[in-house]
Amino acid sequence: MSDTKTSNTAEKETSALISDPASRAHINAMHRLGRIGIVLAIIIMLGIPVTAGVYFNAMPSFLQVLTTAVGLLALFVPGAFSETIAYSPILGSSYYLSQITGNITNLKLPVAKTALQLMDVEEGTEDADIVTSIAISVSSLVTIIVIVLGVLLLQPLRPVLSLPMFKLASANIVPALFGSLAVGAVGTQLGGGIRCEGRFKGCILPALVVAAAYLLIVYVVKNPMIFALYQGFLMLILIPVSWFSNKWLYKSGRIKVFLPGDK
Amino acid sequence: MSFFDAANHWLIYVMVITGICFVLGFAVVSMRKSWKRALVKGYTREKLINIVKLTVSATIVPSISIVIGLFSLVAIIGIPWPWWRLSVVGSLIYETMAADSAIKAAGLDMTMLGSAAARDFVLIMFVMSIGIMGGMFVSPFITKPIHLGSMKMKKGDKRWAALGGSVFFLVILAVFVVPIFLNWKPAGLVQMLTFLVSAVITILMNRIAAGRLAFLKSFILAVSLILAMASSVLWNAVLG
Repeated sequence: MSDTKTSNTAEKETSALISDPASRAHINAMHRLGRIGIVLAIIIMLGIPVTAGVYFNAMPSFLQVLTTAVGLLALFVPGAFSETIAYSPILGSSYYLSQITGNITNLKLPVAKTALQLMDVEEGTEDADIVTSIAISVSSLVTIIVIVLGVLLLQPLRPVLSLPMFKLASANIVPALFGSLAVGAVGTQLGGGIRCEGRFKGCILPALVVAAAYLLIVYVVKNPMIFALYQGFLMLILIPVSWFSNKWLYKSGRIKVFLPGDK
Repeated sequence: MSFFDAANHWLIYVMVITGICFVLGFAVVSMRKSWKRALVKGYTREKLINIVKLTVSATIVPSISIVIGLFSLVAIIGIPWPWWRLSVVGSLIYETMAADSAIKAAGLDMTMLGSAAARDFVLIMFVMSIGIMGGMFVSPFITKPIHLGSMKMKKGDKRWAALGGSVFFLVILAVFVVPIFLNWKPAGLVQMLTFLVSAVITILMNRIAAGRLAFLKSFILAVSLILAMASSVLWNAVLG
Protein backbone atom coordinates (compact mmCIF):
# COMPACT_ATOMS: atom_id res chain seq x y z
CA MET A 1 0.00 0.00 0.00
CA SER A 2 2.69 2.50 1.02
CA ASP A 3 4.80 1.34 -1.93
CA THR A 4 1.96 2.13 -4.32
CA LYS A 5 1.52 5.51 -2.67
CA THR A 6 5.25 6.27 -2.99
CA SER A 7 5.22 5.14 -6.62
CA ASN A 8 2.20 7.34 -7.47
CA THR A 9 3.83 10.34 -5.81
CA ALA A 10 7.00 9.73 -7.82
CA GLU A 11 5.01 9.43 -11.08
CA LYS A 12 3.26 12.75 -10.37
CA GLU A 13 6.62 14.30 -9.56
CA THR A 14 8.04 13.03 -12.88
CA SER A 15 5.04 14.48 -14.75
CA ALA A 16 5.52 17.89 -13.16
CA LEU A 17 9.22 17.83 -13.84
CA ILE A 18 9.55 16.46 -17.37
CA SER A 19 7.02 18.02 -19.71
CA ASP A 20 7.94 15.93 -22.79
CA PRO A 21 5.84 12.74 -22.56
CA ALA A 22 8.44 10.64 -24.42
CA SER A 23 11.23 11.77 -22.06
CA ARG A 24 9.00 11.14 -19.08
CA ALA A 25 8.11 7.68 -20.34
CA HIS A 26 11.78 6.85 -20.89
CA ILE A 27 12.91 7.99 -17.43
CA ASN A 28 10.02 6.15 -15.77
CA ALA A 29 10.68 2.97 -17.81
CA MET A 30 14.37 3.00 -16.95
CA HIS A 31 13.69 3.36 -13.23
CA ARG A 32 11.02 0.64 -13.40
CA LEU A 33 13.48 -1.66 -15.17
CA GLY A 34 16.15 -0.86 -12.59
CA ARG A 35 13.87 -1.54 -9.64
CA ILE A 36 12.72 -4.87 -11.09
CA GLY A 37 16.37 -5.73 -11.81
CA ILE A 38 17.42 -4.96 -8.23
CA VAL A 39 14.60 -7.09 -6.74
CA LEU A 40 15.48 -10.04 -9.02
CA ALA A 41 19.17 -9.62 -8.24
CA ILE A 42 18.46 -9.73 -4.49
CA ILE A 43 16.44 -12.92 -4.99
CA ILE A 44 19.26 -14.54 -7.00
CA MET A 45 21.98 -13.37 -4.61
CA LEU A 46 20.20 -14.82 -1.60
CA GLY A 47 18.80 -17.76 -3.57
CA ILE A 48 22.22 -19.20 -4.40
CA PRO A 49 23.37 -19.79 -0.79
CA VAL A 50 19.88 -20.94 0.25
CA THR A 51 19.76 -23.51 -2.59
CA ALA A 52 23.31 -24.66 -1.82
CA GLY A 53 22.49 -25.01 1.89
CA VAL A 54 19.39 -27.09 1.17
CA TYR A 55 20.99 -29.23 -1.56
CA PHE A 56 24.16 -30.00 0.43
CA ASN A 57 22.10 -30.42 3.61
CA ALA A 58 24.47 -27.90 5.12
CA MET A 59 22.27 -24.94 6.04
CA PRO A 60 23.79 -22.80 8.81
CA SER A 61 21.38 -21.47 11.42
CA PHE A 62 19.97 -17.95 11.07
CA LEU A 63 21.69 -16.98 14.32
CA GLN A 64 25.03 -18.27 13.05
CA VAL A 65 24.71 -16.24 9.84
CA LEU A 66 23.65 -13.15 11.77
CA THR A 67 26.42 -13.32 14.38
CA THR A 68 29.02 -13.89 11.66
CA ALA A 69 27.72 -11.10 9.41
CA VAL A 70 26.93 -8.51 12.07
CA GLY A 71 30.42 -6.95 12.02
CA LEU A 72 30.42 -6.62 8.25
CA LEU A 73 26.88 -5.25 8.26
CA ALA A 74 27.86 -2.59 10.80
CA LEU A 75 30.83 -1.62 8.65
CA PHE A 76 29.27 -1.68 5.20
CA VAL A 77 25.55 -0.84 5.53
CA PRO A 78 26.03 2.87 6.51
CA GLY A 79 28.50 3.32 3.65
CA ALA A 80 26.20 1.61 1.15
CA PHE A 81 23.32 3.88 2.18
CA SER A 82 25.45 7.03 1.92
CA GLU A 83 26.85 5.98 -1.45
CA THR A 84 23.32 5.54 -2.81
CA ILE A 85 22.64 9.19 -1.94
CA ALA A 86 25.94 10.43 -3.38
CA TYR A 87 25.99 8.38 -6.60
CA SER A 88 22.29 8.51 -7.61
CA PRO A 89 22.37 12.11 -8.93
CA ILE A 90 25.32 11.26 -11.21
CA LEU A 91 24.40 7.76 -12.36
CA GLY A 92 20.60 8.29 -12.44
CA SER A 93 18.59 5.32 -13.62
CA SER A 94 21.76 3.30 -14.30
CA TYR A 95 22.59 3.33 -10.60
CA TYR A 96 20.61 0.08 -10.21
CA LEU A 97 22.76 -1.78 -12.75
CA SER A 98 25.89 -0.18 -11.29
CA GLN A 99 24.90 -1.44 -7.87
CA ILE A 100 24.26 -4.97 -9.14
CA THR A 101 27.56 -5.18 -11.01
CA GLY A 102 29.59 -3.35 -8.34
CA ASN A 103 32.99 -1.68 -8.65
CA ILE A 104 31.29 1.73 -8.86
CA THR A 105 34.16 3.93 -7.70
CA ASN A 106 36.91 2.23 -9.65
CA LEU A 107 34.98 1.53 -12.84
CA LYS A 108 31.36 2.61 -13.36
CA LEU A 109 31.68 6.19 -12.13
CA PRO A 110 34.86 6.97 -14.15
CA VAL A 111 33.43 5.59 -17.41
CA ALA A 112 30.09 7.36 -16.90
CA LYS A 113 31.76 10.67 -16.10
CA THR A 114 34.17 10.40 -19.05
CA ALA A 115 31.35 9.47 -21.43
CA LEU A 116 29.47 12.62 -20.34
CA GLN A 117 32.58 14.71 -20.97
CA LEU A 118 33.15 13.09 -24.37
CA MET A 119 29.56 13.79 -25.47
CA ASP A 120 29.61 17.27 -23.85
CA VAL A 121 26.37 16.53 -22.03
CA GLU A 122 25.19 18.42 -18.97
CA GLU A 123 24.58 16.33 -15.82
CA GLY A 124 21.04 15.98 -14.45
CA THR A 125 19.39 15.88 -17.88
CA GLU A 126 17.66 13.10 -19.82
CA ASP A 127 20.58 13.11 -22.28
CA ALA A 128 22.99 12.54 -19.39
CA ASP A 129 20.86 9.62 -18.22
CA ILE A 130 20.93 8.05 -21.70
CA VAL A 131 24.69 8.45 -22.16
CA THR A 132 25.40 7.18 -18.64
CA SER A 133 23.13 4.20 -19.15
CA ILE A 134 24.89 3.16 -22.38
CA ALA A 135 28.31 3.55 -20.74
CA ILE A 136 27.35 1.59 -17.60
CA SER A 137 25.69 -1.20 -19.62
CA VAL A 138 28.69 -1.61 -21.95
CA SER A 139 31.09 -1.46 -19.00
CA SER A 140 29.12 -4.15 -17.15
CA LEU A 141 29.11 -6.40 -20.22
CA VAL A 142 32.86 -5.95 -20.79
CA THR A 143 33.70 -6.69 -17.14
CA ILE A 144 31.62 -9.86 -17.17
CA ILE A 145 33.26 -11.03 -20.42
CA VAL A 146 36.78 -10.29 -19.11
CA ILE A 147 36.06 -12.20 -15.88
CA VAL A 148 34.67 -15.14 -17.90
CA LEU A 149 37.91 -15.14 -19.93
CA GLY A 150 39.84 -15.00 -16.65
CA VAL A 151 37.98 -18.09 -15.40
CA LEU A 152 38.46 -19.96 -18.70
CA LEU A 153 42.16 -19.04 -18.91
CA LEU A 154 42.79 -19.45 -15.19
CA GLN A 155 45.69 -21.88 -15.55
CA PRO A 156 47.76 -20.09 -18.23
CA LEU A 157 47.04 -16.56 -16.95
CA ARG A 158 47.55 -17.15 -13.26
CA PRO A 159 51.38 -17.19 -13.24
CA VAL A 160 51.53 -14.03 -15.37
CA LEU A 161 48.88 -11.95 -13.58
CA SER A 162 50.19 -13.07 -10.19
CA LEU A 163 53.54 -11.35 -10.86
CA PRO A 164 54.27 -8.67 -8.21
CA MET A 165 54.35 -5.87 -10.80
CA PHE A 166 50.78 -6.63 -11.93
CA LYS A 167 49.59 -6.70 -8.34
CA LEU A 168 51.36 -3.42 -7.62
CA ALA A 169 49.95 -1.72 -10.73
CA SER A 170 46.53 -3.06 -9.83
CA ALA A 171 46.78 -1.63 -6.29
CA ASN A 172 47.27 1.85 -7.81
CA ILE A 173 44.20 1.83 -10.03
CA VAL A 174 42.24 4.40 -7.99
CA PRO A 175 44.86 7.21 -8.18
CA ALA A 176 45.42 6.38 -11.87
CA LEU A 177 41.69 6.77 -12.58
CA PHE A 178 41.08 9.82 -10.44
CA GLY A 179 44.13 11.65 -11.83
CA SER A 180 42.46 11.64 -15.22
CA LEU A 181 38.99 12.43 -13.87
CA ALA A 182 40.22 15.34 -11.71
CA VAL A 183 41.39 17.21 -14.81
CA GLY A 184 37.85 17.30 -16.21
CA ALA A 185 36.24 17.98 -12.84
CA VAL A 186 38.19 21.16 -12.08
CA GLY A 187 38.33 22.29 -15.73
CA THR A 188 36.18 24.98 -17.28
CA GLN A 189 33.61 22.79 -19.10
CA LEU A 190 30.37 21.86 -17.31
CA GLY A 191 28.86 20.00 -20.28
CA GLY A 192 26.31 21.10 -22.87
CA GLY A 193 28.60 23.97 -23.94
CA ILE A 194 28.33 25.60 -20.49
CA ARG A 195 31.60 27.05 -19.21
CA CYS A 196 32.73 28.02 -15.76
CA GLU A 197 35.40 30.31 -14.33
CA GLY A 198 36.86 30.00 -10.84
CA ARG A 199 35.56 26.48 -10.35
CA PHE A 200 38.67 25.53 -8.42
CA LYS A 201 37.53 27.84 -5.59
CA GLY A 202 34.57 25.52 -5.02
CA CYS A 203 36.92 22.63 -4.32
CA ILE A 204 38.76 24.34 -1.45
CA LEU A 205 36.25 23.89 1.42
CA PRO A 206 35.38 20.21 0.66
CA ALA A 207 39.11 19.47 0.30
CA LEU A 208 39.83 21.09 3.69
CA VAL A 209 37.04 19.09 5.39
CA VAL A 210 38.36 15.81 3.93
CA ALA A 211 41.94 16.74 4.87
CA ALA A 212 40.92 17.50 8.47
CA ALA A 213 38.98 14.22 8.75
CA TYR A 214 41.84 12.22 7.21
CA LEU A 215 44.57 13.78 9.37
CA LEU A 216 42.49 13.29 12.51
CA ILE A 217 41.67 9.64 11.78
CA VAL A 218 45.04 8.56 10.38
CA TYR A 219 47.49 10.58 12.47
CA VAL A 220 45.60 11.17 15.76
CA VAL A 221 43.25 8.17 16.07
CA LYS A 222 45.82 6.12 14.10
CA ASN A 223 43.27 3.86 12.44
CA PRO A 224 43.31 4.37 8.64
CA MET A 225 40.71 1.61 8.18
CA ILE A 226 38.06 3.84 9.79
CA PHE A 227 38.58 6.39 7.04
CA ALA A 228 38.35 3.77 4.30
CA LEU A 229 35.15 2.29 5.74
CA TYR A 230 33.34 5.55 6.41
CA GLN A 231 34.12 7.40 3.19
CA GLY A 232 30.41 7.11 2.37
CA PHE A 233 29.51 8.99 5.56
CA LEU A 234 31.99 11.69 4.73
CA MET A 235 30.31 12.11 1.31
CA LEU A 236 26.98 12.54 3.05
CA ILE A 237 28.38 15.36 5.21
CA LEU A 238 30.18 16.95 2.28
CA ILE A 239 27.20 17.18 -0.07
CA PRO A 240 25.49 20.05 1.83
CA VAL A 241 28.86 21.63 2.70
CA SER A 242 29.92 21.71 -0.97
CA TRP A 243 26.45 22.62 -2.18
CA PHE A 244 26.08 25.73 -0.03
CA SER A 245 29.71 26.84 -0.34
CA ASN A 246 29.53 26.60 -4.15
CA LYS A 247 26.20 28.41 -4.17
CA TRP A 248 27.67 31.21 -2.06
CA LEU A 249 30.70 31.46 -4.36
CA TYR A 250 28.37 31.58 -7.39
CA LYS A 251 25.98 34.14 -5.90
CA SER A 252 28.86 36.38 -4.81
CA GLY A 253 30.35 36.23 -8.32
CA ARG A 254 33.49 34.38 -7.29
CA ILE A 255 32.51 31.50 -9.59
CA LYS A 256 31.11 32.57 -12.96
CA VAL A 257 29.05 30.35 -15.26
CA PHE A 258 28.59 31.10 -18.96
CA LEU A 259 25.78 29.59 -21.02
CA PRO A 260 26.31 28.79 -24.73
CA GLY A 261 26.05 32.11 -26.59
CA ASP A 262 27.28 34.20 -23.63
CA LYS A 263 30.40 36.25 -24.27
CA MET B 1 30.79 -33.24 2.01
CA SER B 2 34.01 -31.24 2.34
CA PHE B 3 34.47 -27.49 1.95
CA PHE B 4 36.11 -27.70 -1.48
CA ASP B 5 33.71 -30.40 -2.77
CA ALA B 6 30.91 -27.91 -2.17
CA ALA B 7 32.91 -24.90 -3.38
CA ASN B 8 33.63 -26.47 -6.79
CA HIS B 9 30.35 -28.42 -7.11
CA TRP B 10 28.50 -28.39 -10.45
CA LEU B 11 25.41 -26.94 -8.74
CA ILE B 12 27.32 -23.81 -7.76
CA TYR B 13 28.58 -23.47 -11.34
CA VAL B 14 25.01 -23.81 -12.70
CA MET B 15 23.60 -21.21 -10.28
CA VAL B 16 26.48 -18.80 -10.90
CA ILE B 17 26.17 -19.08 -14.69
CA THR B 18 22.39 -18.53 -14.40
CA GLY B 19 22.95 -15.44 -12.25
CA ILE B 20 25.57 -14.05 -14.63
CA CYS B 21 23.20 -14.61 -17.59
CA PHE B 22 20.58 -12.58 -15.70
CA VAL B 23 23.03 -9.70 -15.18
CA LEU B 24 24.07 -9.87 -18.86
CA GLY B 25 20.41 -9.79 -19.90
CA PHE B 26 19.70 -6.83 -17.63
CA ALA B 27 22.67 -4.90 -19.08
CA VAL B 28 21.60 -5.69 -22.67
CA VAL B 29 17.97 -4.59 -22.08
CA SER B 30 19.13 -1.42 -20.35
CA MET B 31 21.50 -0.62 -23.20
CA ARG B 32 18.90 -1.31 -25.93
CA LYS B 33 16.36 1.00 -24.31
CA SER B 34 18.85 3.84 -23.94
CA TRP B 35 20.34 3.27 -27.42
CA LYS B 36 16.89 3.47 -29.06
CA ARG B 37 16.02 6.60 -27.10
CA ALA B 38 19.35 8.19 -28.03
CA LEU B 39 18.66 7.61 -31.75
CA VAL B 40 15.17 9.12 -31.36
CA LYS B 41 16.72 12.16 -29.67
CA GLY B 42 19.01 12.70 -32.65
CA TYR B 43 22.27 11.13 -31.54
CA THR B 44 24.06 9.65 -34.54
CA ARG B 45 25.18 6.04 -34.57
CA GLU B 46 28.80 7.25 -34.83
CA LYS B 47 28.48 9.27 -31.61
CA LEU B 48 27.03 6.29 -29.77
CA ILE B 49 29.79 4.02 -31.12
CA ASN B 50 32.27 6.53 -29.67
CA ILE B 51 30.70 6.02 -26.22
CA VAL B 52 31.09 2.26 -26.69
CA LYS B 53 34.74 2.62 -27.77
CA LEU B 54 35.52 4.83 -24.78
CA THR B 55 33.76 2.50 -22.37
CA VAL B 56 35.32 -0.71 -23.71
CA SER B 57 38.83 0.73 -23.73
CA ALA B 58 38.45 2.25 -20.25
CA THR B 59 36.89 -0.88 -18.75
CA ILE B 60 39.38 -3.53 -19.85
CA VAL B 61 42.26 -2.55 -17.54
CA PRO B 62 40.18 -2.26 -14.34
CA SER B 63 38.53 -5.56 -15.28
CA ILE B 64 41.95 -7.22 -15.50
CA SER B 65 42.58 -5.94 -11.96
CA ILE B 66 39.38 -7.70 -10.93
CA VAL B 67 40.67 -10.91 -12.57
CA ILE B 68 43.88 -10.58 -10.52
CA GLY B 69 41.64 -10.42 -7.43
CA LEU B 70 39.73 -13.43 -8.68
CA PHE B 71 42.94 -15.48 -8.78
CA SER B 72 43.72 -14.69 -5.16
CA LEU B 73 40.19 -15.63 -4.01
CA VAL B 74 40.05 -18.83 -6.08
CA ALA B 75 42.81 -20.30 -3.92
CA ILE B 76 40.66 -19.72 -0.82
CA ILE B 77 37.07 -20.48 -1.83
CA GLY B 78 37.13 -22.32 -5.17
CA ILE B 79 36.34 -21.04 -8.66
CA PRO B 80 32.58 -20.42 -9.10
CA TRP B 81 31.80 -18.40 -5.98
CA PRO B 82 34.53 -15.71 -6.43
CA TRP B 83 33.57 -15.63 -10.13
CA TRP B 84 30.00 -14.73 -9.12
CA ARG B 85 30.94 -12.34 -6.34
CA LEU B 86 33.35 -10.35 -8.50
CA SER B 87 30.88 -10.27 -11.42
CA VAL B 88 28.21 -8.72 -9.19
CA VAL B 89 28.11 -6.34 -6.22
CA GLY B 90 31.41 -7.22 -4.64
CA SER B 91 34.78 -5.57 -4.79
CA LEU B 92 38.00 -7.42 -4.04
CA ILE B 93 38.59 -5.56 -0.76
CA TYR B 94 35.12 -6.38 0.52
CA GLU B 95 35.11 -9.99 -0.68
CA THR B 96 38.48 -10.74 0.93
CA MET B 97 37.40 -9.12 4.21
CA ALA B 98 34.06 -10.94 4.17
CA ALA B 99 35.63 -14.32 3.41
CA ASP B 100 38.23 -13.79 6.13
CA SER B 101 35.71 -12.82 8.83
CA ALA B 102 33.35 -15.65 7.88
CA ILE B 103 36.22 -18.16 8.02
CA LYS B 104 37.37 -16.87 11.43
CA ALA B 105 33.81 -16.81 12.79
CA ALA B 106 33.47 -20.46 11.78
CA GLY B 107 36.47 -21.16 14.05
CA LEU B 108 38.79 -21.78 11.08
CA ASP B 109 41.70 -20.06 9.38
CA MET B 110 42.82 -19.98 5.74
CA THR B 111 45.15 -22.95 6.24
CA MET B 112 42.41 -25.19 7.69
CA LEU B 113 39.88 -24.97 4.85
CA GLY B 114 40.97 -28.35 3.46
CA SER B 115 39.46 -29.95 6.54
CA ALA B 116 36.42 -27.65 6.74
CA ALA B 117 32.86 -28.80 5.91
CA ALA B 118 30.28 -27.81 3.29
CA ARG B 119 28.33 -25.98 6.03
CA ASP B 120 31.31 -23.63 6.49
CA PHE B 121 31.31 -22.88 2.77
CA VAL B 122 27.56 -22.13 2.77
CA LEU B 123 28.07 -19.85 5.78
CA ILE B 124 30.76 -17.96 3.87
CA MET B 125 28.39 -17.64 0.89
CA PHE B 126 25.67 -16.14 3.10
CA VAL B 127 27.98 -13.72 4.88
CA MET B 128 29.65 -12.50 1.68
CA SER B 129 26.21 -11.98 0.11
CA ILE B 130 24.35 -10.11 2.82
CA GLY B 131 27.20 -7.94 4.14
CA ILE B 132 27.26 -5.73 1.06
CA MET B 133 23.60 -5.78 0.01
CA GLY B 134 22.49 -2.86 2.22
CA GLY B 135 22.41 -0.36 -0.61
CA MET B 136 20.33 -2.67 -2.81
CA PHE B 137 17.49 -2.61 -0.29
CA VAL B 138 17.31 1.19 -0.21
CA SER B 139 17.97 2.15 -3.84
CA PRO B 140 14.52 1.07 -5.18
CA PHE B 141 13.03 3.63 -2.78
CA ILE B 142 15.45 6.55 -2.90
CA THR B 143 17.32 6.50 -6.24
CA LYS B 144 14.44 7.81 -8.37
CA PRO B 145 13.48 10.68 -6.03
CA ILE B 146 17.14 11.71 -5.77
CA HIS B 147 17.61 11.48 -9.54
CA LEU B 148 14.47 13.53 -10.17
CA GLY B 149 15.59 16.02 -7.54
CA SER B 150 18.85 16.56 -9.44
CA MET B 151 16.85 17.04 -12.68
CA LYS B 152 14.50 19.48 -10.94
CA MET B 153 17.36 21.94 -10.54
CA LYS B 154 17.37 22.45 -14.32
CA LYS B 155 14.00 24.16 -14.06
CA GLY B 156 15.40 27.17 -12.20
CA ASP B 157 18.57 29.20 -12.68
CA LYS B 158 20.32 27.37 -15.54
CA ARG B 159 23.77 28.64 -14.60
CA TRP B 160 23.51 27.49 -10.99
CA ALA B 161 21.86 24.24 -12.17
CA ALA B 162 24.91 23.38 -14.27
CA LEU B 163 27.32 24.25 -11.47
CA GLY B 164 25.21 22.63 -8.73
CA GLY B 165 24.95 19.43 -10.76
CA SER B 166 28.73 19.14 -10.78
CA VAL B 167 28.96 19.39 -6.97
CA PHE B 168 28.10 15.69 -6.43
CA PHE B 169 31.12 14.54 -8.38
CA LEU B 170 33.27 17.17 -6.70
CA VAL B 171 32.39 15.57 -3.35
CA ILE B 172 33.36 12.09 -4.55
CA LEU B 173 36.57 13.47 -6.01
CA ALA B 174 37.49 15.26 -2.74
CA VAL B 175 36.93 12.11 -0.67
CA PHE B 176 39.12 9.95 -2.91
CA VAL B 177 41.78 12.42 -4.05
CA VAL B 178 42.67 14.48 -0.94
CA PRO B 179 43.93 11.43 1.05
CA ILE B 180 46.29 10.59 -1.83
CA PHE B 181 48.16 13.83 -1.06
CA LEU B 182 48.22 13.29 2.72
CA ASN B 183 49.83 9.87 2.92
CA TRP B 184 53.56 10.58 3.09
CA LYS B 185 54.70 6.99 3.44
CA PRO B 186 56.47 5.47 0.37
CA ALA B 187 53.25 3.68 -0.73
CA GLY B 188 51.36 6.98 -0.43
CA LEU B 189 53.98 8.84 -2.45
CA VAL B 190 53.69 6.18 -5.17
CA GLN B 191 49.94 6.85 -5.27
CA MET B 192 50.48 10.61 -5.44
CA LEU B 193 52.94 10.31 -8.33
CA THR B 194 50.62 7.86 -10.12
CA PHE B 195 47.78 10.38 -9.76
CA LEU B 196 49.94 13.21 -11.12
CA VAL B 197 51.17 11.14 -14.09
CA SER B 198 47.58 10.29 -14.98
CA ALA B 199 46.54 13.97 -14.75
CA VAL B 200 49.49 15.16 -16.87
CA ILE B 201 48.84 12.51 -19.56
CA THR B 202 45.16 13.50 -19.63
CA ILE B 203 46.02 17.19 -20.11
CA LEU B 204 48.51 16.36 -22.88
CA MET B 205 46.09 14.04 -24.65
CA ASN B 206 43.26 16.59 -24.38
CA ARG B 207 45.51 19.10 -26.15
CA ILE B 208 46.48 16.60 -28.84
CA ALA B 209 42.83 15.50 -29.32
CA ALA B 210 41.75 19.15 -29.64
CA GLY B 211 43.75 19.27 -32.87
CA ARG B 212 43.70 16.85 -35.76
CA LEU B 213 43.71 13.68 -33.70
CA ALA B 214 40.16 14.06 -32.40
CA PHE B 215 39.61 10.28 -32.41
CA LEU B 216 41.95 10.10 -29.40
CA LYS B 217 39.22 11.60 -27.21
CA SER B 218 37.63 8.17 -26.81
CA PHE B 219 40.87 6.70 -25.45
CA ILE B 220 42.14 9.39 -23.08
CA LEU B 221 40.95 7.63 -19.91
CA ALA B 222 42.25 4.22 -21.03
CA VAL B 223 45.70 5.51 -22.06
CA SER B 224 46.09 7.65 -18.92
CA LEU B 225 45.07 4.69 -16.78
CA ILE B 226 47.49 2.22 -18.37
CA LEU B 227 50.49 4.58 -18.41
CA ALA B 228 49.85 5.83 -14.87
CA MET B 229 49.51 2.28 -13.54
CA ALA B 230 52.71 1.29 -15.36
CA SER B 231 54.46 4.33 -13.86
CA SER B 232 53.44 3.16 -10.37
CA VAL B 233 55.78 0.17 -10.80
CA LEU B 234 58.60 2.56 -11.61
CA TRP B 235 57.80 4.88 -8.66
CA ASN B 236 57.69 1.88 -6.37
CA ALA B 237 61.13 0.77 -7.55
CA VAL B 238 62.51 4.27 -6.94
CA LEU B 239 60.82 4.97 -3.59
CA GLY B 240 60.18 1.51 -2.22
